[in-house]
This record gives sequence, structure tokens and C-alpha cells, in this order.
Amino acid sequence: MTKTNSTADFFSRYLKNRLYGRKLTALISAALGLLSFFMYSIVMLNMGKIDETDVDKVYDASRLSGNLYMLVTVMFIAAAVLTVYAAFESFDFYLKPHYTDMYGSLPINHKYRFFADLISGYVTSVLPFSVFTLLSIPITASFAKNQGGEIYTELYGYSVLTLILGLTFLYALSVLAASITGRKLSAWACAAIFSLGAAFLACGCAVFTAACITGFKDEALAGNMCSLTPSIHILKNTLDSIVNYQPFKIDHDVLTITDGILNTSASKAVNVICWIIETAAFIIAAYFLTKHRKAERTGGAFAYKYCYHTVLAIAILTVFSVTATFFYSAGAISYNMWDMLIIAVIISAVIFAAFEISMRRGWKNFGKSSAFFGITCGVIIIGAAAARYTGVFGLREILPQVDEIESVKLQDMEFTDEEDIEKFRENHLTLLKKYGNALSTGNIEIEYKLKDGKTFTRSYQSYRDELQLLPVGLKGYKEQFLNALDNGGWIRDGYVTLKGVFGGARIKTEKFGDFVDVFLDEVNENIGNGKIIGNAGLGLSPDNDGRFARLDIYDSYTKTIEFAKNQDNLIAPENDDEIMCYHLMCSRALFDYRTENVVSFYTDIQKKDLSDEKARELISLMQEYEGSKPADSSDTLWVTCGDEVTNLYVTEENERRFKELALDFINDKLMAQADEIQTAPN
Amino acid sequence: MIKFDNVTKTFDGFTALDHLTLEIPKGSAYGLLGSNGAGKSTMLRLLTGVYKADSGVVSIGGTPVYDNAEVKQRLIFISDETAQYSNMTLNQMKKFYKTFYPKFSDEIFTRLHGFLNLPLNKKTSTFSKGMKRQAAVICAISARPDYLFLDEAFDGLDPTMRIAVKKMMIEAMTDNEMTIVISSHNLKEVEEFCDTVGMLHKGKIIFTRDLSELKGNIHKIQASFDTEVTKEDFPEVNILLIEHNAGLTYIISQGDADNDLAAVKAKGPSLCDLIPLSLEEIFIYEMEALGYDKNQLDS
Repeated sequence: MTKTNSTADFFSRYLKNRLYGRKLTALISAALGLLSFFMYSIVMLNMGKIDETDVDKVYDASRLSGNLYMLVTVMFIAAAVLTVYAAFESFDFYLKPHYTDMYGSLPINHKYRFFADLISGYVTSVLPFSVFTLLSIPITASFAKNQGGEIYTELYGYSVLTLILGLTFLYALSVLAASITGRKLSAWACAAIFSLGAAFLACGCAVFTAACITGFKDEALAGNMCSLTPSIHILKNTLDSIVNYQPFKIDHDVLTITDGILNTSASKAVNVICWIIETAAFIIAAYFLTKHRKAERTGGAFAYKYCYHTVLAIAILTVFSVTATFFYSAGAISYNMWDMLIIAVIISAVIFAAFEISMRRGWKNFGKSSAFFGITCGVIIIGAAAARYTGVFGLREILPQVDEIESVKLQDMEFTDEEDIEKFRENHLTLLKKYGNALSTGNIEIEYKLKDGKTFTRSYQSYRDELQLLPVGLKGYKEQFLNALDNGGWIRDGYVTLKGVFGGARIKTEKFGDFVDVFLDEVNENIGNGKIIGNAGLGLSPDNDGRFARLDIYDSYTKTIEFAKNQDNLIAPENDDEIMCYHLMCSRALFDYRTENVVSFYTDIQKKDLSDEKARELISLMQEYEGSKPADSSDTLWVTCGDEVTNLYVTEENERRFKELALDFINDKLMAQADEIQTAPN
Repeated sequence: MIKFDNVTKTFDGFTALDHLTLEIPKGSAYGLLGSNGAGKSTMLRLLTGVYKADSGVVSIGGTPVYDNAEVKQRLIFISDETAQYSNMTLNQMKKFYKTFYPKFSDEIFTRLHGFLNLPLNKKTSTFSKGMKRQAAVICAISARPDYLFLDEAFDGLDPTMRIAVKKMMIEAMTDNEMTIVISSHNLKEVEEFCDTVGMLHKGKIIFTRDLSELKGNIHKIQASFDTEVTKEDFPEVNILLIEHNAGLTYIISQGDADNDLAAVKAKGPSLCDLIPLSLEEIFIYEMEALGYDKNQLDS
């Protein structure tokens, strides 16, 4: 009786054979993992020396985390190269220039052959590295648990997990590349291009997730196509997304698991899910492409007729994006979509032509590909423009309905009253409609908690003041405001600026509560009524480098104005000795709260239109410099001046005269400006 | 039973096999003949599951071959390409074959290897074409398959090695009752091996014949007549071809040799002999008899 093997026998035997044949790869991977493990451990041992209260003594947490990122990057690059190599080695017979895929005659069917190749490559490349690197997690945890939270969270696991997930993703992507190509060079090129294409897919997934309102935070938004709303961010953020696949960025933006391995935030989970979906999609695609790959079509650059065009389209899109991003980042062109598109098309066309010529496919094919190039560019341009002018096809203006919302949160202030929620949502929509594309994503977050347990988040950067005004006027604002100050560690302190009072006067600490009572009551009652005649900056950060909120004061706020004019409630500078620092800003105000008695000066003073004698003398006392600040300049008279005249300083010998002039000048200018304060917008 | 049932295979518009139907009985040694590009290699690759037919079914023992590991463990294909083993040593090839072929015999491998004496631990990519072929033959015969398919089996082998390899194969056929299909454009090679031959031309089987029957059925008679004779002079003889050269007349006939010789002698030639025909000549005459031009077949 003839002895026969079952299908499972063939699979296991073939797998064993493939694994045995890749022992060298496995050894290298294990060695890399072991090296990674030791390097992590060394860093951990050094961590014991850190004293965060005295960062100069050894080295600080950020420096350590920087070293770690460097380490992670080096190890990731080495492991990534090995992973891609292993994937191509596993499917090597597809990538050898020969006449026919003779493996077809062997007694193993396509399905088992694919999975055996897939597993053998993974087991010999990603797995050994991962296992040895994973050993560093318990060590990390044991050494890091007594250190600061930042180090602890950075070291505890997620970077390692990122490595493993990243390598798995890369492996799947390389397998897909191998399944459609017939040469190693093409496979490497495809892997590179696909990784860029995968970034697009990740963006698409993220946008889709946002549309489904499943919880979407700033980090996720920052690297995806939602960001194209303000302008041509589709290009810039494409590069961002690509970069996100590197460990530095992965840790921070894509896959940060901030509270340990198991406790993932929604945005991070979204990215992890996107990654897993992509990985699975690549493997499924690779399986079917390999299964239906014709044995006779080997040795060419691509196993499938249309692969060349597909890869070319992704390449064009990528070159297009990278080119535009480069020019944008380098500041070579203005922040204008059409300028960028034109330059991107030109550069892409040159690179495309060079690529086509190098492939030596003949003029006939060049003509066909050129048409394809044109169509691809056209689609990109239309897509970018459509997204630009429709607010990502209306997605930007989607907000949950009032009856879906349980609460809304802005800057640690949370509102649960239905009336408040409705008004807040209304204000939010008004803001979206008012600023449209100019409302870029950023770090001011608005979070709608929905009744079904999901979270809808939007974050913005521009128009900070107006964003802060969204909840003003809501019934619960005052209570939430004070809670937010306390919960956020802000100091209950503030400044009030009224017309005629330069730089504002600081409210006495013991009077702050009274001021808030008066002010916020009037805000709730009279917001928008009358003229803006000043503003109040409420709540200071512990190191005085920022305010929690700056709210306008209208002339209808009579009690507030009365309070602010009462010198008993204020601390104000009385003589020039109290002036420790000046900021001379030409176009916009920046505040410097390095000392308690700060006088900040902001006006439209510029060299070219100086008419005031005092101002001219004041300017003449300041020196321009290039590069770093001169050694003899005074820190206390550190001066910055606007857009056209920048980087000024005052020498020690001119310091006294500068102070005298500045005080006079400030008073004169302020009185002149007092009547020019703008009225509030409707 | 190997069966091609209305099989078509095309490559980018070129039809390599055109609605081919063919049966090869189990245990036979089948020689597949045809000029370059006739479709021989394509047939073998369809038979061994390398290619998938565009239409029709290729089966062995009633089971389709393509993507069927159960069937393919009983067959081995020695192709004119050995790229799949290029990064293996002969020892690794042996292990590889043992992985897939349950009847692999270490004893046969050792015996055959001892005969050919190839390096065991040197990568086959460093082998000459002939050595690669020998290595593939050693492994294939050691695997003791039920079906052995050879594509241009003896290419690259020197005369001594050809004899040695042929001997090995004949032994294996005898010992294992193996069905063997050999493709070649060299009639002499298949003549020593095969009991049945098929002629493939432009993707179609022109004919299949039992070799002994074929050889015994066609004759060449050399005669000298005073006057030029034609076909019509021998109505009782099935003449395939009649040629005149240097005063001699060559008559190629199909049928009983003695009767045909007697019929020619009856016309009173001064010289009349039955001379042996090579298989190549037999094929050419057979083809011409079927209406194919000799020059067309060579193209």
C-alpha cells in the first residue's frame, strides 16, 4: 500500500523545512532582540541615578527619554530592515528571475505554501526580536516605578509594544509587496511605496472613525486628513502620517499608550485598530494575489499586469505629497494651495519621467503612463480642492445632536445642563461657520460625551480667545470656571486691563474671589452688550507664564469696571524701579510674567513711522543683533520688537535712560490709544 | 491514466495548447515530440500542476492535478529549469524531497549518488547544467514517484552521463512500474525509452502511436529501374512517398513489408532492397502522409 501524506503533513513538513532554512535570520533577529534587551537594561540602571529635583546633577528625564528614543529608533531600523529582508526571503522564489514558478509542481497547494512561507518569515524575523525585547518590560517596570510619571509611562512597555506591532505591520506590508513583484528590487521599492500608501489608508480609517463619532482626539487628528481643512494639509499631514510610523512619532502620536499597556486612550486605540486592520488587509490581499499569481509570469518586475500602474499611482501621490510638504516646510512657497499644487505637479512630473525612462518601457508605454500620471494628478488636485472647500466634505461641521449629548467639556470645564449644552453647541457651530477653513486643529479640545458612552472630540489651535468664550454666558460657567482653576492647578489670581491702564493691573490675591463674583455674574448677564473697553486675564499658571482665560470687559459691566478702578483692589506699578522687564511688541501682545511686577508694553511703534521724539530716542537706545544675544545685554531689559524690527536689546549703560523714556512713552501712547479700542463683534 | 480533456492554455494571446485531448495509459513510457514552441513544456507543466489550464481539465487517475497535493505527491517533474534548488546543496535537496515524497529511499539515493559522485555539500547553483540535471534525476528517482515527467531530460548531459542517466531511469521504470512522460525534440532520445509517442504541433496532438507498431508499419524500399516509376505503377502498395535520387528510387510505404517488397520486385528493378528507417524518418513520412509539410514541421 502506498504511503501518502495528508495535507496537514505537507504543511508542517514544508513549514519545518522553511524554518530550518531560515535559522540564520532567526539568529540575527534574536541577537538584535538580545542587544535591545541589554541596551534597555543599561538605560534602566542609569535611571536609578536620576534626581528630578536637581536636573543638573545627573541628567534629566527628557534627556533620558531622548536616549531611549534614539535607542528605540536604532533598534527599530535594524529590526525593520531584517523584517523586510525576511519577508522577501520567505517568498524568495517569487522574486528570482527565472522562467517558471517550479514550486507549483511540489505537493503543496498554494494556500499552505503561502501560510508556511508567511509564518516561517515572521517566526524567524519579528518573533525572536520581539521575545527578547519583551524581556525588557519587567525590568523597565521594576526600575522605573519609582521615577517620575513621564519616564515611567514612556519606558513601561508601549515603546516595545510599538516595535512589535510596527514590525508586524511592516512584515505584512512586505509580504504584500512580494506577492505582486517578480524581482527583489521591485519588491523593496514596492515595500517603500506601500508603506507610504498605508499612511494614506491610516488617515482614511481615522477620518472614517471620526465620522462615526467613536472618539477622536487631537493626536489622531493631527496626523490625518481631517487636518486638510485649513489649507493644503493633506500634503503636509501625509508626511506627518508617514513619519508617524517611525518610533519617535509612533510613541508620541500614533501608538502612545499613555497609562500602560492595557489602559489605552480612545485615540490611541483607534490607531492601534487602524494598524491591525491594515495588517490583516495586507495579509489577506497578499494571500489572494499569491494564490492567483500565474506561475508563468515570473522574473518580471511585476506579477500582475496592472500592478505597475497601481504602484505608480501611489508613488505619484507620495512624491506629490512629499514635494509639496517639503516646499511648504522649507518656506519656499507661500501658504497657498494652488502654488503648492503647481510646484508639486512639476516636481512629480520630472520624477515620474525619470522613473519611466529608467524602466525602459518604450515610448508607447510612456505615453500611456503619462496619461495615467495626468489623471492621478487631476484626481489629487480635485480631491484636495474639494476637501479644502467643503471642510472635508462637511465632516468639519458635524457635531452631535443635543439629545445625543450627555455633557460637553472645554478646558476642564464640564457642562451637563441641557440648556447649557444646547447653547454651547450653538456657539460651537457659529464659530465653525465663522472661521471655516481658518480654524486649524490644535491643542484646545472640546469634548462631547455622548449618552451611548462614546466621545466626540474636536480640537483647535487658532482663535484661542474666542474658543474660550464658547461657554461664557452658560448657567454653569462660573462654578465650572472656578472648579477648573482649582482642579487644573491654576492660581486664583488675575489681571485686569481697562482703557488708559497700560499692561493691566494685577488684582490683589485676597480680592480675586470678589472680582470673579462680580465679573462672571456680569458676563453671564451682559456678554456682548456695549463696547469692549478692556479685558480680564483670570487664573495664572504656577510659574506665571500663562493665563487660563482672557475675557473681554464691556462698558455695560458697570460693577466690574467700578471694581477694577478701585486701587484698593489692585497692585499697580508706582515707579520705574518696579519695572523689571519690557516687551516692545509691534504687532501683537505677548506677555511675560517672569516677575511679579511686570509691565508689558505693546503698541504699533515701528522705526519707519516714528514721529514721537521720545519714541525715536527710545528706539535709538536699543541695539539690533543677529544670532544669539550679546553677552553685555541686560536680561532685565530684554526687548522684542514686532515683525519688522526684531531682536533688540538694551546695553547696561543705556538701561536707566531707557526705563525713564519707556515709562513716559508708555503713558503717552496708552492715552492716545484708549479711544481706539474696538467694539465687540456681533 | 493521465488525461487531458479539451485543455487550452494561452500566454498573453499566444495559444500554447489548443483544445488538447489526450490519454496516456498508466505504466506507459510516453515520448512527447515536437519542435520548439510546439507546447511540450506547457503540457508537462499543466500535467504537474505548475500551470493552471485556461479551460479543460488535466487529471491523473481521474483527479485534477492543479493545486492538489494528494496527487502531486505521486509525481515528480524534472524540468529544464532547476532554479528552485539553486540555493540548496544536494544534501538539502535530498531533505527537501524527503519532506514531500513519502516513498523517498535513502538507499537508492546513496546508490545513485555513489554512481554519479556529485558534491553533497556544495550549493547546486555552483553546478554545471549537466550536474544540476544529474542532481535532480538522483533525487527524483530516489523519491520513487508513480509518475515521472521529464522536460528535455538529457539536455546538458555529456554522452557518458546520458547513458548513465538513461540506465537509472530504465531501472526505476522497471522497479517501480512508473509512468514516464518525456518531452524532447530529439527522436533518438525517446526511441530508447518510450513505447508510445505523441507528436505535438502548434498546441495540438497530431497523432499518438505505439512505437513498435509505428516502426513496423512504415518501410523504405530502395530500387533501381530503367525508367522512372510513379505511385500509379504500384497500385497495390500504400506509398507515402516516392523519391528519385542519383538513379535510385526510394519508396516509403505503409503496410506489410514483405508484400510491398514483392510488389516492387514484380516491376523488375535491377536492384531492390528493404532498408531500415530511423524513427525520425518514420515521423517525417507519417506527418507528410497526414498532410503536413516537412518544412512546416521544422518551423
